[in-house]
Formats: sequence, C-alpha cells, structure tokens
Amino acid sequence: MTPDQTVRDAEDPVVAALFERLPDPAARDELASRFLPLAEHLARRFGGRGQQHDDLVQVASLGLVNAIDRFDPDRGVRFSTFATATIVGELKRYFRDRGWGVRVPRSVQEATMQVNRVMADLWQELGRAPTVADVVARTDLTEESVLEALDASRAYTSASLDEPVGDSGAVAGDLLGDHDARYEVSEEWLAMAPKLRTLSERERRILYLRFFQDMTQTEIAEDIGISQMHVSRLLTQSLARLREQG
Amino acid sequence: MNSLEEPIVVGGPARAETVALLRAIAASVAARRDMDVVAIEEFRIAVDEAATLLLLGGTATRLEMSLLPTPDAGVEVRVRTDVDASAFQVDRATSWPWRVIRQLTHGAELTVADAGAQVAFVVGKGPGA
Repeated sequence: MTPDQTVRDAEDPVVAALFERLPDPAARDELASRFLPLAEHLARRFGGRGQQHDDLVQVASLGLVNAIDRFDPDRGVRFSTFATATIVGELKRYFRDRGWGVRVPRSVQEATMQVNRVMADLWQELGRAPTVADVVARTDLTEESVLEALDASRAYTSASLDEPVGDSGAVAGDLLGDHDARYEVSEEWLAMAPKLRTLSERERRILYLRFFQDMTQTEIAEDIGISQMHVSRLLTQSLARLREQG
Repeated sequence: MNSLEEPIVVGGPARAETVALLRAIAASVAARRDMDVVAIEEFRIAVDEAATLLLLGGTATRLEMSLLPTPDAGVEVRVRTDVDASAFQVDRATSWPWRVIRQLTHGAELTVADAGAQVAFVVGKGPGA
C-alpha cells in the first residue's frame, strides 16, 4: 500500500472536520502531519535527478502547506487529489529553476545553449552528427569552448519530469516497459537490469537499446520519438547516475 | 584538426578528479581526430566507464591513460591503475562499465597483471550516431 493510498483511505471524515476547523493552527498542523507521507512519496518519485532527497521533501512539504491553505472543500475534489497536483507542480517548478545540476559559470551556460542550437541546425543541414570543427565554423567560439560547452551539457538535468523513477517492485522484464515486448530479453540484461531501478522507464529503455540491441543514438531517437541530442543527454545522465551508485 | 601523431600519456592520483582530466583530454584528442560530437561523447563515456571499472575493482594509487593514433583516424586507448592484482575484482558478466565499454568501442580487453589492471580499446569515427 502506498502512502497515497493510506492517506486516501483514511481521509474523508477526519480530514473534512480538520478543514472545517481552519484557520486553527492546530488543525493546519494536523493536516500537514497527516499528509506528510504523501509529500514524501511524491518527493521520492522525483528522486535520482541530481537533487538532494531532503531538499525535495522540503519542496514537497511546502507544496503540501500551500495545498492546505488553498484547498476549497466545497468544490467536490478530494484533498489528496488536489494536494498531489499542487505538490507535483511545486516539485516541477523547483526542477525548472535548478536545471543546472552543478555550478556552471554563466558564460559556459550561454555557450552551451548556443552550441546546442547550432548543433541542432547543423544536424538538419548536414544529415549527420556535426564535428567540433563544424560547430566552430558556425559560431564565434573556439574549439576548446565548444568542447567545454559539450561537457557542460552533461550538467544540465533536463530529464522528463513527467516520468516517475524508482519502481523498486519491478522485475527485470518490467524494467523495459510494455513497449519492449518485441525484444528478446537476454540473460545479460536479466543480470544487469536490477541495477537500473533508480532510472526512469525511458532511461532504462535507452540503455537497453544502445547496449543490448546495438542501436545507434540516431536509431534510438527515431524509435522513441525524441531528438538525438536528447538521447545523448539521457544516455550520459543515466550512466553517470549508475556510476554514482557504484 | 587531425593532428595527433605521437602517443599521449597522462595520469594522476587514482581519484575522481583525475577521471575528469582523462575525460577532457580524450574529448580534445577526439576533436582533433575530427570525430563527430556523438563519437566524442561516447569516447568520453568509454573513458569514464573504464576508469570507474578500474577504480571500483580495487584500491590503487595511480590512474593513467595513454592515447595512440591508429592509421584510420581512430585512437587506441589504454586506461590503467597500479592496483594489487590479487585484490582486483570485477565480475564482467554483471558489470555495467564493462558492458558499456564493449559496446561503445572496438576490441575491448581487460587485463590484470603484476603491474596493475588495464582496460584497452580502440575508438573510431563510428558507428555511434
């Protein structure tokens, strides 16, 4: 049973009574305490993206308090539903504001944005992955600056925030997602897949296609329906996260 | 920019900071071999994973990388530590770093000898994209 279910099953009469007592601070505290497991649960869903768990719990808790203050019981929506939407919104805003996972100087951030834009154009024009020389010729940047910008791209955590991660109950086959039923699951994958539980389904899928199906980044991009640059970034971030886990 | 003609050897303490140095040098050399951005990124990943595999395999004091040009504009790479061979442990069957290295490079080899452990491989211009 998830904390969400725990909250939902227990909420109606007691929670309604607590909301009737607002703005009584004791009732507000009781509501916050009662729904804290929901906030913690949602914070965990956003884990593994380069932010500290404690920080995420704090952000989720703030979202919970906002939800308590803004909830209108007369609108016929369950508080757990309203609180979930509010907390998730708060967590997403937090990630948007902190897209750069590590400290990157402003000049490098700007160069990275420029390089990414130019690379996307060049990819279209050339029909292949551009070289550093191609990018240098199209910008006012030096070769070293382009390399630095490419490296800095790894620090930008742009993974989809709509994909929960960490489904610890999943088995190796599940870790591919339903869409991968057409692929044969090798013994090697079965042995290695449990290490990927902290990744999102899409990240696991990209790793599987690249390292077990021998597909190129371009082929994976076409298969999944995202850009090659996005595949590259997700691939790099996933592997970095696995390295951090040891 | 195809200017790598002589071997390059670089190294430092067996720590994460040195891995970042090796990765940056690998990328710079790859750019000078006119590899595309995907090949460069996957070269960086391969170096990262090789260093990770070696550092996790056993305690070492020194981490080194050598880069040698190949006739077809590729690079032969050797990443090594001075780990005590008897203490080095890597289960290749379940090692993600080893899987990644094998997939992204050509001719990957992991050798353990008295002098330490080494991951060797060759990277070229493709196919990575």
